[in-house]
Amino acid sequence: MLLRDNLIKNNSILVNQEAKNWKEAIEIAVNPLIKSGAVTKEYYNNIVKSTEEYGPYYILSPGIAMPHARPDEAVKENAFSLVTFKNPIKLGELEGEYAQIFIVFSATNSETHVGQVIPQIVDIFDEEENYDKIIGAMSVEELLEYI
Amino acid sequence: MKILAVCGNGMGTSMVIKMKIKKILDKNNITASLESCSLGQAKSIIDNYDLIFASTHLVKELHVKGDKKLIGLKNLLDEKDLEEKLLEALG
Repeated sequence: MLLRDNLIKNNSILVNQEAKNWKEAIEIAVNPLIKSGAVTKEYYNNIVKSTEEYGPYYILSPGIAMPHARPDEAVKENAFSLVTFKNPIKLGELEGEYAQIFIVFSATNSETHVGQVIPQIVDIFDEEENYDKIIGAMSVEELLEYI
Repeated sequence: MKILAVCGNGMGTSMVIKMKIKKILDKNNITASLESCSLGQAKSIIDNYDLIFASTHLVKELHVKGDKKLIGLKNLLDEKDLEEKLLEALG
């Protein structure tokens, strides 16, 4: 499974979005996956609930979040979305708890193909300049050049 | 040496932590068994591991006994920080 192919298939890249708070940001980032049929609306609620319970445990590094919830009836397919925001969105009270890039993913079970994609995401952001390039991308086409 | 990486669901951040630890172990020629799992699973198997890594948010949910070590990570992509913490814990 390739991140890029999955994003194209789900039509799940959005750039330069605006949100008033983290819940709205997660809603915007989950929406493409609801539209593509990969998850149901309940998946958004699941992510919000688990964020409220544990905090933003899915921050990869400051600026990059991978919100997700556990595999259950809300998940229909393994899928990813990649959404960038105009401004950093505050996810918690501590230093570094914000994100401007949201990568939402859904997995039908914890042993699936999603595991193949995580290293691809790490590889992208191990190149530090990719962070600014991705945030700076003003179109889906431009963003696809960097992943 | 048995190392465990833990995250909320055992799919996302724990895999990132596991990947990064593996890279550091290989680089330093250290042999250790390395696994990742969810918070729920971790609670029942944590006693079988010597060294447990999790994101800082989940550290308060976990408890280790005796000389076992539990380490919280803030920036999962920060290999330098992870390497320092890992090598220090391995002594």
